[in-house]
Amino acid sequence: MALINLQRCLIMAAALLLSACAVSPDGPVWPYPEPPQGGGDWGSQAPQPGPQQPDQPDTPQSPQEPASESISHHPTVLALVDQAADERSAGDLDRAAGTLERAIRIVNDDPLPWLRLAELRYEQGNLIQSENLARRSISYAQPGPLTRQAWLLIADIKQLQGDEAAAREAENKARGG
Amino acid sequence: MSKFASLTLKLALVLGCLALLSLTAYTLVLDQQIRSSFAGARWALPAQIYAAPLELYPGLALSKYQLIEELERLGYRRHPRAQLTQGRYSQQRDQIEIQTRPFVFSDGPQASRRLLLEFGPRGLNKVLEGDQPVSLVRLDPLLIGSIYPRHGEDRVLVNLAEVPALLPHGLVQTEDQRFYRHFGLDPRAIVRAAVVNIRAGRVVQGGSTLTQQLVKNFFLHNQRQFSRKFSEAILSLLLEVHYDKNAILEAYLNEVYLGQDGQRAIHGFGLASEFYFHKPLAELGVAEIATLVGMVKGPSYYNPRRHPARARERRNLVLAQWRDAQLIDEQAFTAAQASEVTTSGQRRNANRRYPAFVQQVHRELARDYPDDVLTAEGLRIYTSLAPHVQAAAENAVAEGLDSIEASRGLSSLQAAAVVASVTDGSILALVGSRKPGDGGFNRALDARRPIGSTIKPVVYLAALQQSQRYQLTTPIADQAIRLDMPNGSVWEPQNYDKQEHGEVPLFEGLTQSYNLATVNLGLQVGLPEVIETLHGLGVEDEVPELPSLLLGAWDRSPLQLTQIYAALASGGYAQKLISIRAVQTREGQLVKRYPLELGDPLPADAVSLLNWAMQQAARNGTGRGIYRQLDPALQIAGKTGTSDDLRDSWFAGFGSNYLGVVWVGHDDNDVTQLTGATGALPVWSRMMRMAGLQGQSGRRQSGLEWVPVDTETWLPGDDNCRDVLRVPYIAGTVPQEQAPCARSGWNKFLDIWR
Repeated sequence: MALINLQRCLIMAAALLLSACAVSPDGPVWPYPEPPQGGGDWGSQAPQPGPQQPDQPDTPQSPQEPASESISHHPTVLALVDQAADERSAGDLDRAAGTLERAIRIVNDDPLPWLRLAELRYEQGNLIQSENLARRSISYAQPGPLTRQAWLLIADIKQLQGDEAAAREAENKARGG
Repeated sequence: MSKFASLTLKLALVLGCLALLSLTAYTLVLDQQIRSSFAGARWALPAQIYAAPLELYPGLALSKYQLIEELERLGYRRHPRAQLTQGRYSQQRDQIEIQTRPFVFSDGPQASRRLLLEFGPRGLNKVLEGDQPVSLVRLDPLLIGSIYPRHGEDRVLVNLAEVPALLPHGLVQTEDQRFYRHFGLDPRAIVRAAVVNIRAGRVVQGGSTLTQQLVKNFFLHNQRQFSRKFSEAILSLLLEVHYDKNAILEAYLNEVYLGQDGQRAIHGFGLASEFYFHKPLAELGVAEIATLVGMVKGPSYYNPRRHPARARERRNLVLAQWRDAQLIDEQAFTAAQASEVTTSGQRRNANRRYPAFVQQVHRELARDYPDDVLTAEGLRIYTSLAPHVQAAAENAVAEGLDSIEASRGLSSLQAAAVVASVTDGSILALVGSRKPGDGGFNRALDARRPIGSTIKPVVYLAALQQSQRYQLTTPIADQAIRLDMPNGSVWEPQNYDKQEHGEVPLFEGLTQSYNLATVNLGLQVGLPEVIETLHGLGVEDEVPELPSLLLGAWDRSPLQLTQIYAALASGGYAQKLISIRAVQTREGQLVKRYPLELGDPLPADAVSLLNWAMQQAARNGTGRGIYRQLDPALQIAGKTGTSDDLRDSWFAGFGSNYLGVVWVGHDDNDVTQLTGATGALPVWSRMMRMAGLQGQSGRRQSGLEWVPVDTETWLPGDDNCRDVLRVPYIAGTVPQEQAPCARSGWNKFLDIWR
């Protein structure tokens, strides 16, 4: 009897473990950390996608297999993000914004140009657009450096708007909370 | 005698002085006229409207044939590789080589570039310039229209330095050989013409110089015949005093009248080249230049489109003159003379190709610019029109309606379609009639019809925002309901199949488009909440607070419905639908950019749940017909709509790049016998297939939990259940209660101790 109970307990433990897996979202969990992105500096480059990273954002994915992409940006998008960085350093913020919009139209679900445009609007003092753009960037990203940067930007915006609670919440999200 | 003679002499002297004085005065007046009108902006220049340029980069999903279509639309001509010049392309197997046209874009100029494009099975593989890879390059955009006053003149200005040298030389040779030697008038030519005319007994030859012709067109087109010849002579002389020959010739090239296009007068060789040959002046060949120069004598008489034989005869006469004057050699003469007079079809004339879209552009411009600025300042308007998407929409509407009418025995259906970018809500294509190029009633903008069930996603979104109360699997009663209306009537909605379906999971109310479930849900959630959601999606005008709103008894234009779906497609960001990206002055100075602007987002997680339900509607629900034409691997979200008594048929849906709305109905609001699924849906899917709709990404939104749900009880289940569906929940809202069939987790735990 006791033996059977012990057996049951073991089966139960195994079942619990398995079921815990079964109800977690399927598809691989995001592998931390992301490939190095070069910190939060403007114009920092993500590594060029090599041949071992074939899944670029514009590659159609079948609905059955959820995206498990490590972030790989389209080279054209990276080139435009770079160009926008140059234009921004030269003080031509409007032109830089136009360039980032061009990047966004080429690959619309790459979080990088969305985030850069959010940063640019912040610099121009357009806090509302900046926050909305940052949030849209987050919606295209898996948790990682880009979402952290976006949440920190939102925290700064909230701070400026005097919304301490929202600023703290955004900072928590930046820390992965 | 002598007294009389001296009196006569005195009188003559006085009269002579007076005449001289008035002549001087008159000359001064004319001189002032020349200075004021010829020195500044010489012409009221219509605003020029451009489509979006095609961006070429490695990885672009564009086949070789699609590129060729795009190039042909732009008027690029195919030639052997050895003859590649600006505006031409050549093709070798999987490669296309282009010499692009220079263009001043809203963010700066791009010179003419020679590009080698390599194609693979998935699209554009490589872009090379010389040996250097190019990461991004644009083609010049299509000129799609200009805003000129009613009954007005339209022109494309050219510089003398930029036109082919044969044009000014040939023009002088044919019209006014002594142009560079006379002083504005050519007495010899006048005498010669007089002799010829007297011999013939009628006017067969004019003695006018180019200067006189210019003066006549530029200054005198409203003056009476009597004073005209006199003024013409004086003005010509004055013009020659003030301006050099080249300035006069350049003005002539831009002023000369070269035909009529409906209410639009074609002025200048620049526009005539676009109008008759669909290419810039710089790319015209000898025969084409001769055709245009020949037309100066009689623009409608020698119209090459309407009278090709006459135009050809005249052209060959001009060519012979040029050969005799050694402007062209024998070889060029023979080749040009043998060639047909080939004009571009009127159909290709972009100025009239996209009237529905241009009308929208005009309306947006009218908010910021007065009409006289638009018709006079030569502004350059850069828009978002994507010509290949527009072509797809036009074809789908025309062919789709033909096929529906043929298979169902219907007639006189009408339709409208809008395609917008999911990214920024810019309008990519707009069809206002089933007949492409129809500039009449623009149904996409102005036909407001009840939107039927296409409103339902908004009702479900309003519910899903109350995430603790409503999840996708929450049971909803699909049961009959009677409502007493304030006006004393009774509202008793029904399902399309006239059945009640009992308790259904929330999402099924949407996917199967059950009216009763939707009304019950909407009333539970509250009409004000539904209306607030509509405002959150970018609706600015007042919305009627009536229960029938829940079933789409609300008149919207296709463009207005697109606005609502643009917000759903972008993940909850309301976006202004705009067609203009930037406005520049004629000199290339930026006047205004219309930046990407996002409204405050609705909760992202609720929008994601709705998106899943709309995917289900397109996959298994009332919208499933789209996969008869679209690749089943594509993940699409969409919704059908049908108004009362089958009058209006709607479909609205989106993938990752495009969102589209199609309306099919009758202009007189008669019954069509079509539902959303049988009318608008096939047109929509045909349009999206041709436009290149991409599926939504399978990326899983963070903050959502995916749970296998038992499809009998709609409670969380597991593999032990006969049939499960993976349904997303907002984290923390997964129902506690498990399906009886589930044998995992706590159920299993409890089983053990039972």
